[in-house]
Amino acid sequence: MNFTEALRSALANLGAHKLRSLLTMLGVIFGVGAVIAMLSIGAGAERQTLEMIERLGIRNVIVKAKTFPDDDLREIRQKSAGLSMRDVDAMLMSVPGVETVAPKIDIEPYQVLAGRQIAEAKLAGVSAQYADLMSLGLQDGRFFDPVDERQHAQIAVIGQGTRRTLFGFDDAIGRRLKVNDVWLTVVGVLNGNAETETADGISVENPDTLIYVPITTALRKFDRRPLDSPLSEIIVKLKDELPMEASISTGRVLEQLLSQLHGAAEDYEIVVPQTLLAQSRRTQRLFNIVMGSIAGISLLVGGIGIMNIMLATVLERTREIGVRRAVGAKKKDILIQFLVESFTISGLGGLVGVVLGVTIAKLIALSAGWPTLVTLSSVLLATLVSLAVGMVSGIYPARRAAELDPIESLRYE
Amino acid sequence: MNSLIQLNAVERHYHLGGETVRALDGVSCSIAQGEYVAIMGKSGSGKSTLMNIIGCLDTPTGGNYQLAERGVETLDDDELAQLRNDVLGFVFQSFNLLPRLDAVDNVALPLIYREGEQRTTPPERRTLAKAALERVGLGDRGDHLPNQLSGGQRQRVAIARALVNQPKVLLADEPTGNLDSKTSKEIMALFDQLAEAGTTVVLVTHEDDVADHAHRVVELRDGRILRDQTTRNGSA
Repeated sequence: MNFTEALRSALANLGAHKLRSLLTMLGVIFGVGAVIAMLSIGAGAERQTLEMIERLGIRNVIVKAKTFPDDDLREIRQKSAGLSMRDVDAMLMSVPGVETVAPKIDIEPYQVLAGRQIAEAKLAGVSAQYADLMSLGLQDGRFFDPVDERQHAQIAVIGQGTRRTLFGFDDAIGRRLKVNDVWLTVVGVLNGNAETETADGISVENPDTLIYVPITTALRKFDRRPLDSPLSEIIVKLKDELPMEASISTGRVLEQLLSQLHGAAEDYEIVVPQTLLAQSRRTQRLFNIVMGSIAGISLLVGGIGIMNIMLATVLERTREIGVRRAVGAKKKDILIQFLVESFTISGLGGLVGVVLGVTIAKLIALSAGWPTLVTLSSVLLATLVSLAVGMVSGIYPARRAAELDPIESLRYE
Repeated sequence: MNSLIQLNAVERHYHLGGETVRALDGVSCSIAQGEYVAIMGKSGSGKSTLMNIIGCLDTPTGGNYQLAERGVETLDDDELAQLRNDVLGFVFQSFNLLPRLDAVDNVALPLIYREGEQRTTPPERRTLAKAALERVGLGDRGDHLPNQLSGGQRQRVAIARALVNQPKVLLADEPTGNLDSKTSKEIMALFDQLAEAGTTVVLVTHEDDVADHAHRVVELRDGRILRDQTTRNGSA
């Protein structure tokens, strides 16, 4: 009796007990479905984090000014002036492996106008390298250059959202807008409509509703509260030839440097995307282990179900086994027949489970808005596991069937 | 004439709770190719045990048994299965057809366990199975399931299954036990016809009517042969 023969017989027997076969398969179906759905959520979250970290820059270290209540701030300001251009210069001079250091100022304007149109937007004063650093793409026009910075040029690069609100479908380049009481001329429009994403509490700003101006312009033309740190953020970019892990040690160096410069006042925080990545990977692994165990239990229960039904089948078909043995079936033939049957249950269950898992992943993506990603490896893993379940839960019943005494089996009522 | 079945002082003892049950206690008998033999005896006489031993489903605990010139004691489980497949055809009292297979597939069952050069393809099996069904007069019922057939027809399908491998010996255990007398006669006529055509037939029965069809009757009592004689049919 060859494999095809056994498979045909297995399918016929499953078909003869449709409800029973389906119920038996359910355990495997849910188990495999759960494995795939869980892994897809995990993989989706991981990809999202990776994308975010990529936007922060894997070789970057970001220093942010912390915000405090005014009372605390007054106390801190006696020791430290906050993040300033002094820090930028110190970093450029003393931190090894630094390619560029890009300061940034965030300003919350009280009004943004163009003609009669009003927009809600934030202002960011950035240096000329910022666009490259944060991989901002331009749809139209240009970004600033060092000359603009030197001249405190009153120009702006705006995001798509702001462009739409202020200028509708008109060409924005060369148009003027007023932020607070400063007139700015639009020289560039960013492309893309990236969304604000948050992962592990670190958010990446949405450039859609931002207005970028040269940092010198921001420093000179816009008022800031005297207690505020002069700069909001400093982005440190390491040289490309350095390994990615270098950002971790650079983070430590920056820590020491800033601690000295700020008189040990902790009015800044250092964000190392590389560390975030490692953290996110750890969280991910934990999630996978927990969810994998839950799905594994479901598969285990499914396997027990298969074994149970296979034992019942063997008992029910004792006479058939006797007849087959009498007409020349070897123990091996009987073993294969029942093993293939158990494989068929788990294999079919696995297939349906894959479909179910993919569907659940899609539904989660649609309803909860979580990104899900069904990977080939998760499908392969789930299928292999379901086959292994069929193997493990089928081997004992099949052996029992093969070891039955033909004479006893023929007499079995 | 070479004997096909050669039993020499065959013993089959069971150990049940310290006691030894001598189901067969020194049976010697020889059956030649083409014979038509009935093995008779009351319940407990050892005829079923003898049937199992002749059918290679069981092996003797003493003496020796040669089937088609092969010493059965020396064979392992797989070789016994092979021998059953090659040399024997079984007919059971309760037909023992597989309920979910149609007549053709039931008849073809022994063919799927053929190995090596004898291996057959599914279409070949169907052809052979249909031919066997023709032989028992059921050529038009190939696609019927067992529960769509009468008792007599089921037993014919079972006989066709026993014949499909062209066995040297047809072993029938109370083949009419579950049939009414009219159908029994038809089935016995079929055995007569097969024996006539040269198949070695061994019937196990307790009914004289059935045994009368055979050419030779071996009667057992308490695990020993009580009588072994040629009947009127045999001498005629």
